[in-house]
Amino acid sequence: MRNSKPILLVEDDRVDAMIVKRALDELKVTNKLVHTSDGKEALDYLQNKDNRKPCLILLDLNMPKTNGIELLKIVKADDALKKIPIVVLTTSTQEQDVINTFKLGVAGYIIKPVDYIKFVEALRTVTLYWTLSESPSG
Amino acid sequence: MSLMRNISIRHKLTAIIMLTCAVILLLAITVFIVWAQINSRHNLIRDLSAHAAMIGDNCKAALAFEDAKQAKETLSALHVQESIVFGCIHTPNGDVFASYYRDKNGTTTERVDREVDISKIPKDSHIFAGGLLTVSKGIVLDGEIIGTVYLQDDMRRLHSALVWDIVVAVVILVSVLTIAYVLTANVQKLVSGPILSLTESAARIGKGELNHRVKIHSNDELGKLGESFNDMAQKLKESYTHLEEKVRRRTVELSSANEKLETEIVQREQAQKMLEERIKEINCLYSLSRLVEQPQITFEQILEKMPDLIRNAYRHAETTCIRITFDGIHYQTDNFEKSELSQYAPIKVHKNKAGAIEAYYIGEKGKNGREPFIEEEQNLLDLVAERLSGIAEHKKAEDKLAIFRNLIKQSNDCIFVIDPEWGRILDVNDRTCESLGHTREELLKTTIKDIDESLTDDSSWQQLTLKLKLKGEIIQEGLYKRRDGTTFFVETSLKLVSQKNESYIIGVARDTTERKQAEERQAGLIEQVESINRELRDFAYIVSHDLKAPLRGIKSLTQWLSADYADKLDEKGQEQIKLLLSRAERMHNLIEGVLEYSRVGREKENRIQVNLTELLPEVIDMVAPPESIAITVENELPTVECEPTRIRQVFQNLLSNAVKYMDKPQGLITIGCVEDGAFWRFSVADNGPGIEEKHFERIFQMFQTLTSRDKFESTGVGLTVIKKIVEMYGGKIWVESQVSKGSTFFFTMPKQEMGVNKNAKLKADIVS
Repeated sequence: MRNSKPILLVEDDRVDAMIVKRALDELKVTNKLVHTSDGKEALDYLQNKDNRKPCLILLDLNMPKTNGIELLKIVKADDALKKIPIVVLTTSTQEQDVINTFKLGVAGYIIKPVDYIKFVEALRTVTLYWTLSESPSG
Repeated sequence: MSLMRNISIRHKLTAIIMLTCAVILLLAITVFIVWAQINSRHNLIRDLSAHAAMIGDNCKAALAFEDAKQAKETLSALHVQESIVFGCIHTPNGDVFASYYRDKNGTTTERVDREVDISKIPKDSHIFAGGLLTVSKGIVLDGEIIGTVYLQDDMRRLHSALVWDIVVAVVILVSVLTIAYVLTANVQKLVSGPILSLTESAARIGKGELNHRVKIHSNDELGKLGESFNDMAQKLKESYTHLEEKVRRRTVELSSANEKLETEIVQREQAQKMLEERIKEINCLYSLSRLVEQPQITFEQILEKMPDLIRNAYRHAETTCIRITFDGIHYQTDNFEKSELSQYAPIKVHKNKAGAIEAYYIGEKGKNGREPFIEEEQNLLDLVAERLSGIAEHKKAEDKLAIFRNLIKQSNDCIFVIDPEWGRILDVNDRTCESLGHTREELLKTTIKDIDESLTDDSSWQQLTLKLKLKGEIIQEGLYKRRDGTTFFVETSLKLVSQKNESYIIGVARDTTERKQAEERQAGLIEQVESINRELRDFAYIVSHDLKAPLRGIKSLTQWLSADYADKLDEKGQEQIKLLLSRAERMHNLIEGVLEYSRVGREKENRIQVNLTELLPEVIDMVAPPESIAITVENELPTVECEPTRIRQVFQNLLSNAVKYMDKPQGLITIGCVEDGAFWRFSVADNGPGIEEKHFERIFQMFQTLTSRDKFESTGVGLTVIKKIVEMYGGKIWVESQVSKGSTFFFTMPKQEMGVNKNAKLKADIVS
């Protein structure tokens, strides 16, 4: 990653969160991983002025309380938050989800590989990309 | 009077004269006698009163001196008058002063007669009583009544005078009548004579002696009568002669008329006979007409009855026989027998000879040297033959027509004829009446506008007719109204037909209510299926997320265990970890299989023309069979319209299976295609292990595998997915196999896939 801002993981599944964390560790990503387990919690974090804005949000879609799509809508409607790149990390293979999320301005859509090794590979690509890509400051 | 009627005029005259004389005489005599009597009475009263006065005068002194003796003497003087039978003098106080009485013998006595109470007789009066005349007379002296004289007379003079008078009268009567009779007997001849002679003449003329004339004796009325009578007789004679002449002439006329009449009768009888012959012929033709008019009669039945009818029309019916031949079949009279004398008439149907009528004379020949058959009979035969020809043609046409009519009548569709101008219904079949709930008669009074809900006004009707004139035929859907107001859906075909300068619209309407209902039901079912599909999609989504998430966790954690704690696990532990991973993998494959299955038909691709000959090498490439297995395409494969991914999936799955389960060192997989009606029938044959027949159905069910998954890693979804795809295209899939020899999977695809086959898709969805 190009900066030291935290990566916000919105994921209700603890194992999945562990997979992400382990994969990022394995990939030697030094950015802090902030884990929130649903949309509501993520929003609370994002809207808290004391917290640093994340450089990337890894977003699961199917979550209790505020789900991924709902969170997307709120974030993209918020001027302060809508610049933050969001990559969907989900199990849903629904075409409709892909379309809907891209319409809401996501930066990417990654289907969680069942195999951990493949998972690591997927995350490696994401982090590599965001190491290469410029992202809006602030 | 009846007595008078029978008496001759002579006697009548005599009798009248005699009667007249007698009546006049009797009247005269009677008057005379009565007059004499009245006169006599007056005289008697006067005489007796005079006597009484005289006696009174004579007795005054005696009374004055009460000298009864004197008085008695005076009274006794009465004896000179014989007829005075009694006399007395009473004093004023009523005592008898003196009396006188004469008995029958003429002796005087003093006996007082008690027969008449004389004291009651008033003074100076008279009374007739007891055959006596009593007279009273007062005796007056110096104006004082000193007594009363009573005298009684026996009226003998009166009686004797009457007797005498009557005797004289009778004598006169008799003598006058005698004289009268003698006179009339002679005089009446003057009158009665001519009358009698007239009578006699009249009788003679009446008996026919018209030349007799009455003799005229005088110039009086009788003479005139006689003359008139003679004139009359003369005229009678003249008119009689005239009449006789007339009668003679009339008789001549009558006899000639009679002769004429007799001739006529003879002619009439001949004509009658002729007429009877003609009537026979007419009867024959009439019977034929009646036969034809019978509604159910067949032509054969008519032919059966005709020979007898024709024979009866012949003059010599007894010795004539008839035979009709039609279509090679004979219809003949019982006495049929051929002979030399015959008549013949051909029966033609549409100008082709179809039969004939023959008549044969079977009686004795040469009867009076005349031909037994006459021209009229030949004419009859010709007429009947002509008529039968017509009937045969008509019946044939009618039979054809009846088939059509039956077809229309029995039709399950409403068939009707409408007048194109006003839409009036001209004819309908039974089904129309049934469907609309109207009787035929009711429908013939209505128009299509009353039935068809879409033709509510004239303009819509005019549009329809205009369209019909342009196109000739219209097929449209509509709503028909029944008699009870309910409606039903119809598909109507209207056709404008022109026939003999007249146009009709022939309508055929089919009740599509059931079809509509079925369509609605189908739409409902599709809706239901789609909702089930949605549920399935949701289910697939949930499965994909909710089942895959924990699986991923399991797999990741296992991998971590294997990596992080490799040094702490012994070989057995490592083996178990490996097994755990492989089961998690299998579960992942199963979930993927379900997802793939659910994706078929849900995720749509555009259908394009796919050339399978080009597609198959690619598929074989992907399957990547080992070198020991040869995959060949037997013949050229067709181009089908479908989604390329799906057809690829079908072949790929089938080929993968064949490769995967191949147990022979030299594997042979052959792909073929043949035409099967409207379908292409594809086959994928292998020489693998084969499948037991009992599994033919099971292998197409989800998650069904025939071998252990540990031996052949398989989800058991592949064939299910193929089945779903094939059925979605309206095809079928099945397997033929022999254990250890190999299997052949067949599936069909329609040649022309025109759009989405809704029903097939539906079926596939329901099956899924």
